[in-house]
Amino acid sequence: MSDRAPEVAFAGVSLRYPNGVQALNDVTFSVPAGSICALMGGSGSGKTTLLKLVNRMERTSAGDVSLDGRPVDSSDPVMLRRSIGYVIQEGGLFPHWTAERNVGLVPRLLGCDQRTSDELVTSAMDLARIPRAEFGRRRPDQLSGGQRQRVAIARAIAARPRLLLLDEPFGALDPAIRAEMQDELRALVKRLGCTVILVTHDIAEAFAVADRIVLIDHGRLVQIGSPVEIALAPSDAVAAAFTAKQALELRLRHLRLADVAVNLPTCDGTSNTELSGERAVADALGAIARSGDERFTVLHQGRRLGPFHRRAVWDLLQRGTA
Amino acid sequence: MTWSAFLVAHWADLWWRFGEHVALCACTLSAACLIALPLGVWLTRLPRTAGAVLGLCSVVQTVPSLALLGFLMVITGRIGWVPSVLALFLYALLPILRNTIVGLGTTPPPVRQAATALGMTADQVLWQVSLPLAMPVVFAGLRTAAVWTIGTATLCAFIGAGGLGVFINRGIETVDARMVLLGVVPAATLALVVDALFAWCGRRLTPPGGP
Repeated sequence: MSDRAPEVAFAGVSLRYPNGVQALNDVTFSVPAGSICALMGGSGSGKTTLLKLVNRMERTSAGDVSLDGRPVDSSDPVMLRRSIGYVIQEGGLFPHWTAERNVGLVPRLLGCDQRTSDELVTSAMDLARIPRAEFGRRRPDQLSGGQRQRVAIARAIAARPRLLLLDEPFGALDPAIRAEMQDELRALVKRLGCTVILVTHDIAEAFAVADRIVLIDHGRLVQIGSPVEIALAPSDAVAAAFTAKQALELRLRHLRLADVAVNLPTCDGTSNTELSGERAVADALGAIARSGDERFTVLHQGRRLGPFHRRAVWDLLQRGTA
Repeated sequence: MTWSAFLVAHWADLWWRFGEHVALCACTLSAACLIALPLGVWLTRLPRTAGAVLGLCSVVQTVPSLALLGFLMVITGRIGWVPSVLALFLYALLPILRNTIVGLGTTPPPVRQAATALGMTADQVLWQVSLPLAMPVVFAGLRTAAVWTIGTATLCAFIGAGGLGVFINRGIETVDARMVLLGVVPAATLALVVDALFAWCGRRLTPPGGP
């Protein structure tokens, strides 16, 4: 793989198992270079299968997966996999190896000399915030769940891959650690400039980490869009069902006031309460409530929008969230 | 005759028979390991054949030892070591083979998947991941086979293979409990010592952490 992050393209991808199960059905989308894409769906939706097509752990029965236009099927699977970082739920760390030996796996497989491999291990463990001096000689059973996932992430990035595949990487962690790791992960991969494909069934995780979300259901692509688009404009009932349970919370936490304001009806009257469009909706609603004013205006990209009524925001947020 | 006088009288004979017994078991176990370990590793890639082979071994296991010895004596047309080693070998196959296959199957699926996804070849996964993690189970099989072989080898005296069973046979014929014990006690001690030896080797070869 080249030195820059690749674009990953899925073109008309289908997969039918010999037993007749259609795991994927004509899925087409692409993940722009350097972006983070979340594959979302329930269990059995085909999201993990889609991920495994990228490093040839599965093969398509029709269509192509390509990296920067080069079909993955034209690469040797073993060499391809060594160039792609991979993290699985529960980490999949080798229980009989120390943390540092686990992290050094891919550099060793690639035939790096001892010194280079040592440097890569140390820097990967630093980046994943699991310092080698303290944790390097511990075995997985001597680490907490969160620490194990950090080691797994360090192992995935050790050989400096330009593409990372993450399969429910935080699925087994408790919610507090999960939120912390999600923020860190996003910062880390943005710093490394990798293209990332993340499989998750947790919509909050997709919203927290991804630039784009791909909704998959029964092997079909349901909707692709930014978190804002997924939250505010589900393409159909299936897409709406994904966000239904947590829709209100997600919209409050992840939407900016400006995202909402462009969809709000203006109201009569005037307002002295002016809010920046960059503020999170939850935060803005708090500010409006404290101001004692029922109406507000929004300052967005030098323009003043509104006035709007506070109740209209709630109406919009709750639409379709029964 | 006192116990000590009895022992002194049979001392040389005891060591000779003990040596025969050890040699018989060592031949059998080495052959069984040499065949069953690689076969077990190979069969993990052919799950269906593995089932058939294990089934066959189980059938052998259900044949009473004495009957198997007699049967092999008839088909080989010989007495002594050849049918004895063959019978003991067939008995020892199953525990080693089954535990090797089961042990290699205990690699946690996420570990196996991560190993492959990060670019390990099938051989690298086997040697660096699956085999080290299978060691405790493989060694449990070796211990079973060893204890079994050492015990069953006493029956080989019936078809002229010598060993500690000679004393047991002689004791039964002459209704002499002391003579029976002269065969039983060293055989039992040998089994315990070999079992402990394998357990120790197993611990040395088992990586810490475990699956």
